[in-house]
Amino acid sequence: MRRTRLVSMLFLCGWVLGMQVWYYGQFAGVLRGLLGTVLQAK
Amino acid sequence: MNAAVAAGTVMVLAGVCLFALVAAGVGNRLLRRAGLLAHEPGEQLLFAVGLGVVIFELCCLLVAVCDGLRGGIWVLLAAGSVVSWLELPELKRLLAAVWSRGRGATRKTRLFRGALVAVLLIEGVAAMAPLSGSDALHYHFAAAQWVLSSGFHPNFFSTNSFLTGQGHLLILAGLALGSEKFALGLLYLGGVLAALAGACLARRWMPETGAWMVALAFVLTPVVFWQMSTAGTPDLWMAFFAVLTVLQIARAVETQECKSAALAGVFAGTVAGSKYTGCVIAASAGLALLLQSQSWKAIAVFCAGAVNAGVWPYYRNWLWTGDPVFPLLMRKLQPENVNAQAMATFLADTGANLHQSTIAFVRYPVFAAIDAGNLGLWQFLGPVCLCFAPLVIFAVRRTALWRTVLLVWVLSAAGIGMTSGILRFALPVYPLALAAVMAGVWAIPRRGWGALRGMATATLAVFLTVSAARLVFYQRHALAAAAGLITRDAYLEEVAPDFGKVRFVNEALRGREGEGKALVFFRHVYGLKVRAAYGNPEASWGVDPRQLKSDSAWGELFQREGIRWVVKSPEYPVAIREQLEQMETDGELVPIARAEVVDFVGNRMRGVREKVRW
Repeated sequence: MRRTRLVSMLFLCGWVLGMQVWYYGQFAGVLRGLLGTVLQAK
Repeated sequence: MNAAVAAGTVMVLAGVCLFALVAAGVGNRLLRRAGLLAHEPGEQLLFAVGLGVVIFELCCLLVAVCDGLRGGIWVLLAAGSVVSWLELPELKRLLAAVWSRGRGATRKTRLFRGALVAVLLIEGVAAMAPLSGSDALHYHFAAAQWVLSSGFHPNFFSTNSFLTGQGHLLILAGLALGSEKFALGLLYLGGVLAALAGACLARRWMPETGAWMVALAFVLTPVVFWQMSTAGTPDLWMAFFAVLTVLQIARAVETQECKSAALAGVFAGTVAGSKYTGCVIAASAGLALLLQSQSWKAIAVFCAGAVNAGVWPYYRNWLWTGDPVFPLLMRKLQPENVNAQAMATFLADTGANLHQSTIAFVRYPVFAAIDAGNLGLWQFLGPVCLCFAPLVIFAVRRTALWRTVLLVWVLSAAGIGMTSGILRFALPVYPLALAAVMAGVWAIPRRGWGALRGMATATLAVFLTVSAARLVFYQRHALAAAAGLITRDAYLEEVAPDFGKVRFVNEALRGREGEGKALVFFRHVYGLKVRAAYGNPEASWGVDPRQLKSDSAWGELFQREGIRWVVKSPEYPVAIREQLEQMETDGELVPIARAEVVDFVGNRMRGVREKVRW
């Protein structure tokens, strides 16, 4: 029971962290692009 | 600082609050008469505002059809105010009940509530900046401007004008009252109400702190704050009505009352009447009611309510074009009248001809269907639903509300993804998803799951902090313009596409606006004082290159439509360039004014500008 809970928690923690990294990674280019525009404007 | 501009911002926001109060008065009176009373005073107020706005929109449509918009809207507001005045004691009682419940809140609850109010204030002020959203300048506001200048008639020069629905009547009402700011304020109000409705739904499953956090996460989501302020679109009203639909369906299932099903139908119909993709949400809601109540009577009154509230844009399109979902069925219904180029562009823009794998639809309910080929913050609905989706298992119960929320959220988002392929169109069910996944976070067991709780808290903290920073960065120009720190023209030069062109045409044709229409080829026609006929065949059903192959065909079009001027900026669209250049050579089109303006090239968020000679 305790082991099942631990495995479940590890899976969920991995999911939350992994999906977050994937999601922000998708938009990394856009954020870099915005930063580039600001720097260029200055 | 321009004090008059700042004062105008405050006054319009106060006017928007007053409008909400009037809508609440009208709605609450009807709800009390029908015996439809919610358990919570806050929920009752939201239902009342929702019903009041539905009635206002239907009345707006009536006065638009009767060609009495400018006076009619004032009469409607006056009549609504009288009803609301009669209802004032009851409204006072409800507001006092909401206030007294809020007074006993914990420190954490007050913190989230205060943060929500601060964010809403920032967004409210930003919404008061002059209109600069691309689609709004192309058709959301331009279509309303057309109705005000030409009457309630079809505009085949703008294919997208046929996509306007119930929500656009609020824009029309604002412009009919003579205030673009008020129209924008009404769109902002839709966002505020959607956030509060989301909190109300979340409150059923978690403590008050969590409910305010749901509302805060909602209004800090970049797509949401963009839609509440600078976008100028009424989509967030759909989100508000979608939450009301779900709450009312759950109630209809629990009480087995037909009047509850009818009211749910009214809200679902309003969602469907706002946008074609809203039909998917209404259908999902109907299915949720049918599966749970297993009553044909309930579904019949639901459908009756939905048809009465939301059929009108489809009926209008059917009367004007023969196709209720113009132009989607034109190839089948009237193949001889199809403008092939406009049709192809429309299908590509709306994603209606998209072919996706079945697995791709799984990404829509968790708002992770990101189109990597067209990346931008207009797709950024945040990682909250994606990260927390599996946590729903901690919170879900066998109740009518849970079943309804899950069915409407998942079926609608997947259905919208399947039919349009555009993630942003699933925004109306975003508050449902957010409330459900946050309920999961709140339900993580306290003992033994500390790491997961910590991870979830950190995820939320990162999302809220990053989004708050984005809000201030993105809205900085809009806030300055709304506070009167920069002039309207300086702001629009900075952020509004095609502003230079619109200003030049207005100056060149000053005093001659009544002589006829101007055929223009730039997309953002809102703000033109002369009546604009958009001429790019890609989005203009009225300009069909296959039929306009000679000078005489063009001459006939100019004659029939009363087109007096053609604005070349800087070249004609490829498909019609040859004929129009030939008309110039033949002396049938004579230059009367030239100018050089600086405008955006491509998407404005990339900030690339070019000098255009024309």
